[in-house]
Amino acid sequence: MREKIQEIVFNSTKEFFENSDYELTTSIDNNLRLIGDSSPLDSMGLVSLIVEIEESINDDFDVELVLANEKAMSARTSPFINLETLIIFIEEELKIIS
Amino acid sequence: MSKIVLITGTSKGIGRYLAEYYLDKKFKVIGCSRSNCTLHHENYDHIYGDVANEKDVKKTIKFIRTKYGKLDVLINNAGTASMNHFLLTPTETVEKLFRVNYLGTFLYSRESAKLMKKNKFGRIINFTTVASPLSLEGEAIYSSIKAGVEKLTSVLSKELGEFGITVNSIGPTPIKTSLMRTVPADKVKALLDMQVFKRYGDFKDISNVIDFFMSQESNFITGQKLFLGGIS
Repeated sequence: MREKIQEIVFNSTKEFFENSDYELTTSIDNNLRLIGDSSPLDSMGLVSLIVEIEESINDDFDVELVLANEKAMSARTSPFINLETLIIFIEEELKIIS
Repeated sequence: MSKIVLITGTSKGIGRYLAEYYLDKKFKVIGCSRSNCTLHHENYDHIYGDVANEKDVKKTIKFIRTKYGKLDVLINNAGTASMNHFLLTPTETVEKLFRVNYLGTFLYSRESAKLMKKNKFGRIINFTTVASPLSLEGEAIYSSIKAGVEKLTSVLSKELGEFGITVNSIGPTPIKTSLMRTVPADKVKALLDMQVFKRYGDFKDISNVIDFFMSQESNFITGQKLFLGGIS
């Protein structure tokens, strides 16, 4: 399942940067930072990317997952640090609802 | 392509009227309710579900995205009221009113905005009530929850503005719907006497304001609440 999630997340991220004004200077991989100084996104960019990824995950897995849920927002370590933490979080959430 | 309009609570009352009104205008209308809906029209889709259930809401928006690829207007009409003296208000009533009036508006606004932002256009129209500015006795819970909807409207207008989405609210006066059925006649008269125009509101009074909020030309109008009948 991890590989499929990773593929969806990477594709959504690629599509997002292609269709936005945000400049991506690194490759799209697990280490791509989503928050913090080294992220290519500002807060609104992060919101938009999360929405795009959520939609793609829901379509591909035919679920109604909300990524910005209580668990994500209250986690000691945010799942939105980079793409890897996000992918792991999505995998955990999909296992819970499946 | 026709405007795509989503209206919550279309099985009866104002929601049913608005659904028929916008169908007459050749719009594509999607309605939702928990109870049976008898409205059938080639341009109307009805989704059964609970406005306060996140999964139900997401399913409705997914249906719209799959069928139409966009959503132009959301009318958060679904609502319920209850008159009680504060000291005799059951906790369950508070929870029910909060879920339908506030949580439903929150969930549908959030999920609709995700779809609207793709098109850089959207109109979200929320329902408040004259009971909020009038601070009516017996409506502590209903009016305070609707005041919350007004504040939600105001903040959302700021957060969603950059996506081309406007968010406004309308506050109707009493209208002869099932919502008013349980309100004693003397209370209704006292309420109507507070208005500049001392009459029941009509469905047309509401669609008139919604037409204004949803129009393409109203792209400079957001975060506003408009009360009918001269209430402010």
